[in-house]
Amino acid sequence: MTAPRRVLVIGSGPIVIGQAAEFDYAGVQACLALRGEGVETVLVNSNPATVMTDPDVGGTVVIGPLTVEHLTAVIEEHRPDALLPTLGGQTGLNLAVALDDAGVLERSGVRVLGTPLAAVRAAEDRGGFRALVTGIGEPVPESAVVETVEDGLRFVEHLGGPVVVRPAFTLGGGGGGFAATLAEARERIAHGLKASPIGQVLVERSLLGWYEIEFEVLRDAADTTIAICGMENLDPMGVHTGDSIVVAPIQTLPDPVVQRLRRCALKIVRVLRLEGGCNVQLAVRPDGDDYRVIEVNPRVSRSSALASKATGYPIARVAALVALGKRLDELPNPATGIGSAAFEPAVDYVVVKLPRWPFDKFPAADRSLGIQMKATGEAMAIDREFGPALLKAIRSVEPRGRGWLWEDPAWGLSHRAQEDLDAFLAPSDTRLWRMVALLRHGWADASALSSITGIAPWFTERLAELVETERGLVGRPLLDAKRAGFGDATVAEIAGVPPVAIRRARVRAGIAPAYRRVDTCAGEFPAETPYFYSSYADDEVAPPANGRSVIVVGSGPIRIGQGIEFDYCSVRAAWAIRAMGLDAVVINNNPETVSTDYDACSRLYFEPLDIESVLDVIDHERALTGEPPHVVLTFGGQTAIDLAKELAYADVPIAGLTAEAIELTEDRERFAGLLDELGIAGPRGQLAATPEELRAAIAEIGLPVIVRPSWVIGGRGIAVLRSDADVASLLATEIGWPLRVDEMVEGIELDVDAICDGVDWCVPGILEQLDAPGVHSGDSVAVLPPQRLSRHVQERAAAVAGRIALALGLRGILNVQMIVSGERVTVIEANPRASRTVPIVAKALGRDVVAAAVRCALGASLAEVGWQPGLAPDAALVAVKAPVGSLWRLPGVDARATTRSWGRRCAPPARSSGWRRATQRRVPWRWPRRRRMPLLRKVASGDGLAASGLGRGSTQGWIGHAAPKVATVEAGERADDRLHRPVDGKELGDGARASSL
Amino acid sequence: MTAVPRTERTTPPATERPASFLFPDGLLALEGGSVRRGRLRGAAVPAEGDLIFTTAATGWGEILTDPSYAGQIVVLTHPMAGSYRISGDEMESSRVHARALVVTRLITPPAGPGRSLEEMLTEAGIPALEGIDTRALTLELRGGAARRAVIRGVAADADAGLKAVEEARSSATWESVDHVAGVSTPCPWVMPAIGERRARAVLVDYGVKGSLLRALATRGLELTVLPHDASADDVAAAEPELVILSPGPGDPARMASQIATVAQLATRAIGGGPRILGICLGHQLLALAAGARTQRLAVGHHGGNHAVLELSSGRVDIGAHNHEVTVLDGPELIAADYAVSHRDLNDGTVEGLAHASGRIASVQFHPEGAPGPIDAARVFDVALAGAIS
Repeated sequence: MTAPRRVLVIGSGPIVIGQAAEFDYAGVQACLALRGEGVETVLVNSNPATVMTDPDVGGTVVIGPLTVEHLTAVIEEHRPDALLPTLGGQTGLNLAVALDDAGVLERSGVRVLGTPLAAVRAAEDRGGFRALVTGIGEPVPESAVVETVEDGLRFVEHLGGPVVVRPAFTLGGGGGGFAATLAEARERIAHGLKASPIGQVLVERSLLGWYEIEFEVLRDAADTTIAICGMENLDPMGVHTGDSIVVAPIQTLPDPVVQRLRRCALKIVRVLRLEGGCNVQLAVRPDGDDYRVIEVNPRVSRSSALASKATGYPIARVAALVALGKRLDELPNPATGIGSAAFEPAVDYVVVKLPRWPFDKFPAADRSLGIQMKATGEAMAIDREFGPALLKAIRSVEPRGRGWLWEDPAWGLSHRAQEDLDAFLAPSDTRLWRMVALLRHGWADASALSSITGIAPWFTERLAELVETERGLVGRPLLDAKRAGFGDATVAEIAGVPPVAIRRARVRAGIAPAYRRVDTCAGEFPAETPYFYSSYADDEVAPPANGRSVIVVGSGPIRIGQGIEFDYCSVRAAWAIRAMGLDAVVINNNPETVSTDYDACSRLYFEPLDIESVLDVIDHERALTGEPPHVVLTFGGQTAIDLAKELAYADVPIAGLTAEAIELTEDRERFAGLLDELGIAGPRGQLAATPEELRAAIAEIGLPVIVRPSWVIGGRGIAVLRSDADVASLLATEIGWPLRVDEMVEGIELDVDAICDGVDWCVPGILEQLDAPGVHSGDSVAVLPPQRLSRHVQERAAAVAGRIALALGLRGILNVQMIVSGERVTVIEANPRASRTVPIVAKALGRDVVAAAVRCALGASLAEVGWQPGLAPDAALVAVKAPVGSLWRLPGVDARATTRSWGRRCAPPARSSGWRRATQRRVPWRWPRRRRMPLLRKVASGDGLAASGLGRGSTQGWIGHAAPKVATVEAGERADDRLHRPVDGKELGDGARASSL
Repeated sequence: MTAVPRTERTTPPATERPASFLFPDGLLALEGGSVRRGRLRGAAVPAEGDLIFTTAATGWGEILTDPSYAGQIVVLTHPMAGSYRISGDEMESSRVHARALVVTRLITPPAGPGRSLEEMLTEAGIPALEGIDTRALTLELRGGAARRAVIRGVAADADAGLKAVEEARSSATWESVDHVAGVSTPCPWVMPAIGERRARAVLVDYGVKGSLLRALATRGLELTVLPHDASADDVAAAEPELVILSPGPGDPARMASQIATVAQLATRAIGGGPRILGICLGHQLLALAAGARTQRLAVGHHGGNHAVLELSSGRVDIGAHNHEVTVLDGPELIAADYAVSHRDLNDGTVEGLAHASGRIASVQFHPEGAPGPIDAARVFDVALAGAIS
């Protein structure tokens, strides 16, 4: 096969539940791998908050809608001769198939690299897949389509086990259900036949309670097929793997069973003739004697990202090279450098992944877990044994006070038993804590938990063991607690002392974790992977350090309000630090991301982002380099910023930032004082510590008002009160007093990002929100540069941000949200960190904003990093970002908010070709094909290019040429109207729903 | 999955505590002088042997009962051992051959059929030392640490560690012991083909695994299993169409009489006599019989994740590996008309040989897996096809 010259890579678009940062990770790895082979890449993605859409990664980058129409245009303009479809998730795969169906690929002479589309179709087509799998003698869940009760019962008898009945053509599977006995089956089938308009039901073997196992498999064109990682879901079948606790390697199955399943996975990948990565899901009966093939995903996936991070084997990178026709045995071993890429990683640790759910944002949502994924993100932890890894994973998902010891007081387990354990232990986001609580209070033992939940006894016994250890901690040496995996905070809580006392005791006794290398080979060969996890075990030879290190604290699992943008910032920061000749050290725990790729930094520590682990890494780095490391918090979102205070207590200097500055901005009273001092207007507001004070404050300020707790992230707990009824319903909920009550300022809301070197400041760009103030900026459509404000007003707004930055003594980056009405600029809030708008600004300007910010934070001046003080000149283009939500995934969440996120449509603006040529020289990426409609008129007309994806909080963005200002303003207002019509603003004001951007 | 509502509290379940690091009652001493303390599990008896590490994460039953581990103390790099109960199917021979097990954590598996790893150790009179940081130990071994070691209880005397190191230094070296004689069948026996009999074979038992016998028998081979010291004429007397030289423990270089027998068998095979398939130790013996040399590897291959390239076809298979010794590629092999047929992709070691006559083939890895993949099981099919033709 001749090497392709130019490859089209399709990204996965906005972050939605079930499709998150893992495809940015995969895309980045693939693009870098392809370009490393001298192949040009053309990358299309609608999500600008990604690392892959930076031109130094993606090559020729087109930010635009992921539609057949648009991709056809891209193919015609950029003339790629090949397409790599398996790295953009299901979105990318579907688009590739659609392009092929439309004949575009053939017409344009674009060949498909890697897995052939025929294989994709075979894997995706349910009927065909069944036939294919059974054809090679591998079992799928048996099923039969029946039209009479008798036929149905005959099949049930033949199966001899529980079944699921699914009536044909009913909405949402109505009338179907689970049947354990023959009598139940008779009833279900009869009911189902009646419910089905065509009198037909599908009777299928139920795999409820079977164990769920996944294999990540790689195959090359020479048929070399290897299983990179086997993973075991702690939650048995019935809970989506994205909502399951996942453990690697497989812990509970005997070798013959593991081998049988592995062989089955390999066999399927071979018969499909896949070339690249593939995920195979299998169900195993608890006794291990029987199994079924559930699903095959012929592409990289969330699971392959997890497998890559769990083993250190970069699946996406190798898959991209395999797609170019390389053989696995000819590729160098990606970890050890000696030997080949054809090997199966051996691990000498245990990996635990915990999902992160958005229920803290949606208290009313249905928190039960099933086959529909609800988690927005995940955290992974590595330790030598399962117990410590699980405890570390709990610390990593940052469950806000929900540590190992957490129990919901409503359970009342300290004084009474639960009546119905089946219901109590039904799959939910809190099931882990419920099981632990039952064990702790002696209401159930491990075997009871297993028989109720179907979770393998091995896991419940480990939980029981941890509870037993917890019980015996007091009076035992601290080292035992640390070896068992208990975090300082948990030990402190058990011992009844402040956490800092535990740390002090550890420091005195010299109890610190060792850092172990993830080397893919369990220590068999020397490896160079700069990838580490902590464990209370013997020390390992430290890797060489080049000099003083800079620690970039990441942002952890993706959640609403804290999305992939912070990963973008962390990665760009690490790259900038490396470019400065310093060691870039990243701490993060989100296995989906680019920042947890050990290639992205000098050293990666896969650790929780709590004060314990961050301080441990800082100590370790100090010992390694002989110098105190710089610590950069500003790119890890609120997760990182939240560490500032405790780092300050520990005398750790933070680059460009003081804990004092953070507190000044986060304590709303002090912030109001600062604004007063600077002569900057803030909203009128008061602090209310009781319902009475709240009412008094509202009386003085007048409705509508915005209320929020003093310390917030992503709008958690923020509410807009428009009527007395709103006030009453707020008071009916659980409120963290005191609340800050602010006037609702009317006007145009701006997001202003400023970079400051301590003396001068500059503002790279301003985003103007098209939604009215009160709608969270993460939920608002925004445009850059502002279209409704004069340059003069923009400069005033920029100056306000700059003055705040200087007053805070910042070096680095600051985000200020303000409202402009006429000439009046009212500052709403300031965050001394990179915000979710940074990637948009960077893409629109074509400049590395993060690099400038991190260099300033480390002591460079604005002039040195090449920025002029003041508001930067307008980018010669207009960028629009629109939020995307996933609320439809979350039953119980207000449907009106859902409608709104659905309703978002955006279109790229028109641009003149003359200008495009001019910018192509300056900016190394390109724009989508020209549309003649002006920017927002298109929005208003409602037939925008792409429906927004259904997102878990993310962004689609389009970048294009500036539309005529007049038209934009006019259309913008219309768009505003339109977007607001179906919605009551209240739900929208209630914190970020769409999240990330 | 019925609910078991409880209204009374049960006493907290009895679960083992993580290894106590306060009161270690056993130690592991290497001849190089390093001493590690842990907790003795299984049979509380001392043990001595050569330390080797395996990267297999499962398959403890197979490992312990594999005769090739005779004389060795097995270090498990995977920290959690014994997670499941071991069934009879996972026994590779009638008894445990490894001398001892070194683990980070020995788990008591959930109740059910089969024996726990610890029960198996106790019955076999073999100790395990728990609470050892096996990664640190593995890195020490990888770095070239001498491998003689002892496990013993901690006596009251303060210099127990020093004494143990002395014991390790004075223990017999792995190379000096005739391990094969200790594990081979004492008398000939016949294993019938499973299903239709397609060919008759002789398997010379230097320490064969049950999985290998099963893999051959299920392919229709009737196996006459002969002791390790069977002569070439003993082999011929069984009138085989195929001779299989089995895996086994120890250093092949010390097996002069077996090498001579293998040389005779090879000469006959080349001259039109029964074809030969050598596996692991059998492969090494074939190479030695051809005048080639073998050498102990700096780091033995033990695990199920190495890839082997079949040079003739370009096929790559993940295989189960268990060898301390490798055949050295050299002019002797070429002179004897042997070509390297398989190579390990990690470190390039010789993993298979093929004679120019096409009548002798051998592999260093274990196509029968157990534990580990059986991706390369076609080695058996090829040998069988040759025998039938």
